[in-house]
Amino acid sequence: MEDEEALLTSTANPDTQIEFEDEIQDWRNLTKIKDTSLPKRGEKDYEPDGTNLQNSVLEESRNSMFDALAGDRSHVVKQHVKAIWISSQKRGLITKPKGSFLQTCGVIDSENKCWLRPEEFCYLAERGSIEPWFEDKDLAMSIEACYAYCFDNDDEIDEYHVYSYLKRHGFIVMKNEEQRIIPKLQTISPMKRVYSQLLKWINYFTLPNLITNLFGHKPYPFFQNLNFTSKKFTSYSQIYNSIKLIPFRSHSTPSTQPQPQSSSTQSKLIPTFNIWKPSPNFSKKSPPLPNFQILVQNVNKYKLPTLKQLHDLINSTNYQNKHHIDSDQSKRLKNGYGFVLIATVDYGIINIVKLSEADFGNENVWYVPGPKPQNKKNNGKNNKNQNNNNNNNNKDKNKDKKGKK
Amino acid sequence: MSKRASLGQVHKYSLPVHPIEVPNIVPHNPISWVQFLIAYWKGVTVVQTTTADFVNGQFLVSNDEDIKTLWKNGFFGKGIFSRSEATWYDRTQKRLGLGEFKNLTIEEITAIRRDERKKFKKERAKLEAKQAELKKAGIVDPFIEERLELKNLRDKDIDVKVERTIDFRDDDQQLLVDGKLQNLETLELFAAEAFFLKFALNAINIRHNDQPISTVELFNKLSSSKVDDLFIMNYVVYHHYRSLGWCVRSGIKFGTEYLLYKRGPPFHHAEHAVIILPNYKDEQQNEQVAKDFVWLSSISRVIGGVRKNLIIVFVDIPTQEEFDSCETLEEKFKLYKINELLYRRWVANKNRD
Repeated sequence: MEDEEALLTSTANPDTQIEFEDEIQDWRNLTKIKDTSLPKRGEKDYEPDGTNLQNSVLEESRNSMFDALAGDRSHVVKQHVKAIWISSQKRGLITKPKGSFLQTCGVIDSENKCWLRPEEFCYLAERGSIEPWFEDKDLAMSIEACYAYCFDNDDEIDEYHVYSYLKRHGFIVMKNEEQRIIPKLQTISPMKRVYSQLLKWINYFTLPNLITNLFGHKPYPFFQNLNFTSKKFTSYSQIYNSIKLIPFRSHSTPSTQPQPQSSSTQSKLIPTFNIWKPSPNFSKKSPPLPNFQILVQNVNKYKLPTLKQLHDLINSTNYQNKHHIDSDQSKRLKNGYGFVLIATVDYGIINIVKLSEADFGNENVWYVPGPKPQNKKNNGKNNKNQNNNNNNNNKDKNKDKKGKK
Repeated sequence: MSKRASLGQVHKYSLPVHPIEVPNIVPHNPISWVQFLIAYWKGVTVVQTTTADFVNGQFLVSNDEDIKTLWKNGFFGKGIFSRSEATWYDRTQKRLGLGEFKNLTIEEITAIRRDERKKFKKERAKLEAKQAELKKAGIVDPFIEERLELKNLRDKDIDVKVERTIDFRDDDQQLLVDGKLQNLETLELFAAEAFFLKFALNAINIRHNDQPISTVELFNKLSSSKVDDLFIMNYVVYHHYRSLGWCVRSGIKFGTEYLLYKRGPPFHHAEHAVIILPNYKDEQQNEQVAKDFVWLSSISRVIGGVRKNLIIVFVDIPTQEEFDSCETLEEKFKLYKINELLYRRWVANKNRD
């Protein structure tokens, strides 16, 4: 909440969790790039301090950027890769495929020819990994020509921006094509169901609950004319449970309310790309489940999808650990369950957001006073111990015990 | 530390409804069973009922005891002269040198903290100036120790023991009746809070034009009969989070509808911020009211900046016919449904590992 101190962040600052999303590059390292070490972040100067030192650092950085740009971009003739744009197929064709990019790009057919998708073709051409050629003319394509030929509309340009952005950040990115896998529905195993039913019954017969259940009034909504004082509540869980009223969408039973499928003008959304974290063992032929799936949306053309669209979108995703559930309550609340990434593009500027399903309705967070933290067994009954009243300064250590059920 | 312990004691109850205190049962000790039964038999669920006046669309609580009760039992309302808890009386007592010297109020702690912060910034500016000097001379930052000192200054705990200074102004005399300070501060509740206390807990009497007003009458005053009325949407969301144990307070300072606190503001920072959007049955209607990404992005940046979690709550809106056909408020509210989505910026560099 406090403004971050530029000075102190340079010393190890333990409480800094601010996201430094935009790295500040020290461009001077570009000239030393031969020694293969990664460029280091420089310290940010906020204003001219009038020193020669600052000026010279600035000058050096500038020069090294120019140097880097001025350098000859060349490749060894042996490694020269020619790719031809086949307009009728909307694909790039490499007749003699070679190069490390093949690990993550292109599809090799039975004749050992490599076919590149438009975004791959354009990206590799921009990177200098392939040399793009026209199919009919004996002519190399310019980068402008690549853009003009590869992409038919603005949406595809937006998608390309996101593709190249993620590629440049080191991710493995592939178009999420027809091979969409229908997500597995999460079902509770019958054993588990029996077990939880059993627990419920056991809980019913623990003495305090039994007494409440038999003599007292079972907690039920008592709004309006009913009155609290007529009931015997021995714990806050009973009180809170009795005022639970509003239905909520639960991650375990995610069916949305039946919504009549009215003639929607927007089509169903599916993720545009699959994203993998960089991995040396990646196999493009049989890729593992992606780490993320991303939908590309232009902010000037599209608005936030409707809830139904978002739910369908998230339901349609399939990625690693989709059904992983955090064991820690506050993590569950923070991270949610299924998610999808949306890259919002505004004239080439990209902002990626993560939308995840949350389920606060299944997490009770009320404060449970009384039992000391080490007494973890005391779960169903949080009766206050009379001699405990004076020392419940153990505060919130066991506050979410209830919610973990 | 002692202050914290007493806080736990003061806010022992998280709603103005208190459960019966029963002793623990020791299974092999029949006497404890008997004790439990007696306590249970004799016990009564306590409802601490307060009174508020509904005047010109405001809910005002003026009885001093009621104000304390509402704050202590779940952090309801805001003191009209204070930041949140009604502390005007205590602050003024102290300023005028009346009564016993009490703990610092939150406003005073903040003031001290800001002072310390100013001091820190001054020191930092000094050090930076020195650094710039040396830079000019070509020497690079030898101030390791000074930096450490600066860091300590920033992180140091504030001193809660402050000397009592009396500041009695001429017109302060008007605050006193028979030498005693009159409490002029009232507590204001927002509509969902007041309605929750009335509808869900029945722990408040609401007076309108000096006449007690029923829950249904209050509801009709607060909402139009339209099914997607803002008050109804806000209320069902408020009720949802309250019934899960959250302390729900206004999120206006962060551009959201609500903030969710675990237990309450003195115990934790709010971790979650809530914005509310309707979800109609008709998809075309939903497309018409859809928010743009820029709107969401701006809220998310504010919430991210204060390290909170942004929850978008989509409330399923029933049809007007369904709504009208329900007899009771309870049935009506049950037609709405909470759908939660989390919205957070995703940073490529941080997710690559």
